[in-house]
Amino acid sequence: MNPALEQHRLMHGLNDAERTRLLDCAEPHHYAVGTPVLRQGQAANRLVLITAGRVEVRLSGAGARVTSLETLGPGETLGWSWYVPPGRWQFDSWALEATDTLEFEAGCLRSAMSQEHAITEAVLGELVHTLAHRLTAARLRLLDLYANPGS
Amino acid sequence: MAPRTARIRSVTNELASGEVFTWTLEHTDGSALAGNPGQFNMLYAFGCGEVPVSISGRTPNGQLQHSIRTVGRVTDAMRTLTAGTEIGVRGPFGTAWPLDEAAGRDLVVVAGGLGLAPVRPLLQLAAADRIHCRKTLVCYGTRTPADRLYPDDLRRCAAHPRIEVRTTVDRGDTGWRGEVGVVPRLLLQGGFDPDHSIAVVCGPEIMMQFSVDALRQVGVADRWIYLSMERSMKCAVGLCGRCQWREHFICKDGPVYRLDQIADLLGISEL
Repeated sequence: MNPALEQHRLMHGLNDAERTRLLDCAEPHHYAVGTPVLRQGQAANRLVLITAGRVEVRLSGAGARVTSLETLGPGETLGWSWYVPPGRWQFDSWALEATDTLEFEAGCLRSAMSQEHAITEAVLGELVHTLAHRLTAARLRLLDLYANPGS
Repeated sequence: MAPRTARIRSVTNELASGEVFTWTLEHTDGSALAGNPGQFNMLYAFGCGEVPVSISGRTPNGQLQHSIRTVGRVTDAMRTLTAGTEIGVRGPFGTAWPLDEAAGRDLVVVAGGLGLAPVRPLLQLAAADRIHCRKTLVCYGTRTPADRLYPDDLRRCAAHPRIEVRTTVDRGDTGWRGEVGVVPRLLLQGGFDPDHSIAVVCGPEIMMQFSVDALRQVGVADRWIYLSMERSMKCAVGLCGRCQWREHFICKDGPVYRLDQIADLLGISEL
């Protein structure tokens, strides 16, 4: 197993059999620069772990200008909408550079989680970690810390 | 301490908005102003008032520079002053960045917004190989790409083989292909040895708190983290109490503090 993946939170607390069960759900993917990883509004069907490269998360809407929300890099996960109703991607994601990912198929992941409590803990642990970090970052940016206090 | 007169040699706009500008100064007798990176001077616009401003660099021939943001009456007036104008200067005051302690270590420079100004002298010294550190990592965050200060210095640093520059913005624009997110995230990407690093942090206090959390998370000890604290300073000699921070007078005990000296004060909103 890739050493970076072995150390990843998704693998924390899993024995060899559970790790194998989890990795059975995963397939590697490669995205060229400027290609979409996830498309807003489409059915959410996988969890994406970035292993190399950089991905930009964007929000776009009819008539609205595209807004870059965040960039994500190696070791970070995106694509949690498969776990949250209505099960559609909430944002667009595009590869800013040549990007490699490991993608866990949602149906397989759900099945593994229903059978192995340790896998549920690992996946939800990663989900909570990710949400907590992104919520904090969003709140910090909401404060507009670098604004001119005199304006 | 009475002010000495100094002359503005040149004025440089750092942002297209004109909101931040840099003065290059020399004494009216032609001598260079004293001061070390991290310290500040009280700059006096005659007839308007006096404000504390960090040292933001030196020109190659040794003239001191101060970058000023227009935030009120005095700095608005300063913005109208042109090259050749005389001003008053008191200083330098306060503590400096511990350059000697960086020897043999990785120097991690963390800055947000105008917080790049007080650490810019370190970037200039690092780019000129005048800091004896192993490598330098610069992590800098701004509101938008257009708000980045000193692009020439950042480019010079990025081109140096032992300096890595990471920048991020809160809001990208259509042409931005860099990072979007908060500064602490840049620290979590690693690229330095936490056991043999020294970190200097300058920016809004909340940004510094979260940067400290990230530095601790990757394993940098408090003893090797330095912060530049900011409070409203008036007398600059620890008499008026305006910049008092519990037992500290930031104008004379700071502005540069080692984290383990002030860790218990960080994040107390009443102070």
